Amino acid sequence: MSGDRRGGPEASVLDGNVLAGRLGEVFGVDVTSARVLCVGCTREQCVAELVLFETGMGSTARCRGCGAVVLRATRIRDEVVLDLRGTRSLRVALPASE
Amino acid sequence: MATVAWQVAHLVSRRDETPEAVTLTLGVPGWPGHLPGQHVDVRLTAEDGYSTQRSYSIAAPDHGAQLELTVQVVADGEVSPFLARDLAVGDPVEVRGPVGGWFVWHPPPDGADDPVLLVGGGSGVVPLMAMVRGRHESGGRAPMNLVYSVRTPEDVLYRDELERRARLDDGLTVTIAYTRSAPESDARGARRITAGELGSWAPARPGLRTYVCGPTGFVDAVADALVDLGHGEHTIRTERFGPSGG
Repeated sequence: MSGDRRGGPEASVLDGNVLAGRLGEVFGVDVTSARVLCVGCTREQCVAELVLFETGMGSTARCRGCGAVVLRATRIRDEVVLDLRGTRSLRVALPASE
Repeated sequence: MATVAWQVAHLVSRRDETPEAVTLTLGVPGWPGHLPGQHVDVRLTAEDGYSTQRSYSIAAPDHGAQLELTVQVVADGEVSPFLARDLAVGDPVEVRGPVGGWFVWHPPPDGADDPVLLVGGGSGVVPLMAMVRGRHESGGRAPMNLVYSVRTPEDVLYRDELERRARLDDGLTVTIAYTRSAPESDARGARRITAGELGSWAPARPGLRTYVCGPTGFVDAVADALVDLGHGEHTIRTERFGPSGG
């Protein structure tokens, strides 16, 4: 895999796997294997399976079922801002239970 | 998952894989270990403070403090030409990882033999190679089937090792499918993989777990074809990157 986080000429990773580093840095656990429930259609899927669009500001992750925005991750200076408006629930396995 | 803070690694050695791809071995003190399929983020910072980062799959199973990354050069890329051509042995580079806990293969405990199907497009074969090597190093017996779609014979990564593994590793099969030009000895010729070919190379079977990695269009087409062939959607794990990766 080789991914360009800003959608430039180098390959953009176009699924939620690319969020691994950014969200891992925030939460300290792997979030790409967490199961997320879409508000729009109630489909349950792994964060890694979300359809990812990169913009200059960050990432928008959409439901692979209905296309609704499930979460946005935006980097602003030294902060990561998560917008979880399309997330009904996020089920995260704790390291000890893996 | 261990901490994923940025840390400084140094280039230990480099190995040309193809004219456009190189494997870098990085020394990373205190590397916490990883599973086949995981990746690292690599960050470059210029003297003026400008910084940019990319994700690269790890090409080999856990070997302690040394990490192998295979970098495919993207002609107009910002990071890959530097890593592949300019980074010198001893130079520092920042890495963060391992990251990713979903597109991973755990070498099974003794006696487990659930079959594994790996389908890679272009440099999407890199994390799958970590799985092939991980199976070898753990003495795995589970049937493993690698289908590798690649443009031309000159683009094949790990060719000699794949041929050797396929010959020597019991239960491993490797199929290389060319999409633009094929050697004359290949009766299949050059074209995209068809659903019919996938069905014959990789029939659905109980317990099968599938990993598909490559450009987005390739991964979507393969995953859809596998579901149409009767593979359970939840048995397929996917990782996508943009069109230049193929």
